[in-house]
Amino acid sequence: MRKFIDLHLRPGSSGKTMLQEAVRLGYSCVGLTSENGDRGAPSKKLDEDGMDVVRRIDLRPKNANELTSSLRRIRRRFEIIAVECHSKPVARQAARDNRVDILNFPTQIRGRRRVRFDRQEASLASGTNCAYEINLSDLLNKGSHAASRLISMMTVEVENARRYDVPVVVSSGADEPLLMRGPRELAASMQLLGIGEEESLDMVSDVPWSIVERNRRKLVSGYVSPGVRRV
Amino acid sequence: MPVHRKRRRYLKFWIRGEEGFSVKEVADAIQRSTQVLFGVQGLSTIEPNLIDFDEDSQSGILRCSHSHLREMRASLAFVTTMGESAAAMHVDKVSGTIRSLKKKRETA
Repeated sequence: MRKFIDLHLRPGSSGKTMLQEAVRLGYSCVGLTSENGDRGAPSKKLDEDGMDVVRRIDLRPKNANELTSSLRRIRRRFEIIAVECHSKPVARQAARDNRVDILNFPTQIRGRRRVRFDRQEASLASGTNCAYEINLSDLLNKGSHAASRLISMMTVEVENARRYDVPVVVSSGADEPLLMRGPRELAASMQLLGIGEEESLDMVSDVPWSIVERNRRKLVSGYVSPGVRRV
Repeated sequence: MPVHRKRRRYLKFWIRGEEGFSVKEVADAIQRSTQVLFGVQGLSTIEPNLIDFDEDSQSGILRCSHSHLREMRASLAFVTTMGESAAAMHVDKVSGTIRSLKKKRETA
């Protein structure tokens, strides 16, 4: 049986409600975002509802140097590190740094035209096993015109990810309970981007789960490098 | 001459919203969302049809074409408003007959 994960919830003040909603929707694991890099994010222990909670941070660096110094500071404090790429130098640096787990791109059409998941970006990301993330909330509450443009851009980006074997993760990106969607609904929405049924279900289960497991292994004390552990 | 019967899928859904919604508001939201995503032709092939809706529990049963279940799910995911207020629709269970859906509901 699949274990579904929504790797991107931005709870704000409604964290408890969103966790309860996630349980009801059938998720067994969620990623809770900490915006400011504090230590306030919950630990990876199971929540009282039986939900596995993953600590995640979304970085918005202004330049490549800021990204590198932030990564050095916080890599061992969070299980998932995502970077919102608002400029090309930041996007390139994030894609070639293996401490970055997930790449996010602007939701506004104008911003997305400047910085997107193009072939060069995909080629760099494939070398570091960095994942490309699709947030359904980016498409919701948008007018037909903006949504259609964004869908066509995302379709090209998914093609680039496939071409270079970059993992693709689908999340809700919800900042309130009303923007949360069930795992099968998230997967079904990927039909708009030309993604098949099994592949899209993997994007909300196996793909994010493999990233979480990989990083949890790294965070265990004694970890040196892949396959090497101090005993 | 024998006529092939159309196969259907029945979806049990529930609604989360800022207020309670009427049957008409729910049916309109489903039609609108399907049409926005897949157009009039899509609407004719998916054939969404609200079978039952309980305004107290804000849950109901929806029917669609058997081969277009995925499109139906996507349409429901894109429902963000009903009437004038914000809402979200979630699928609970899917079945091939109303009877087995109700059976699942009782055993759940």
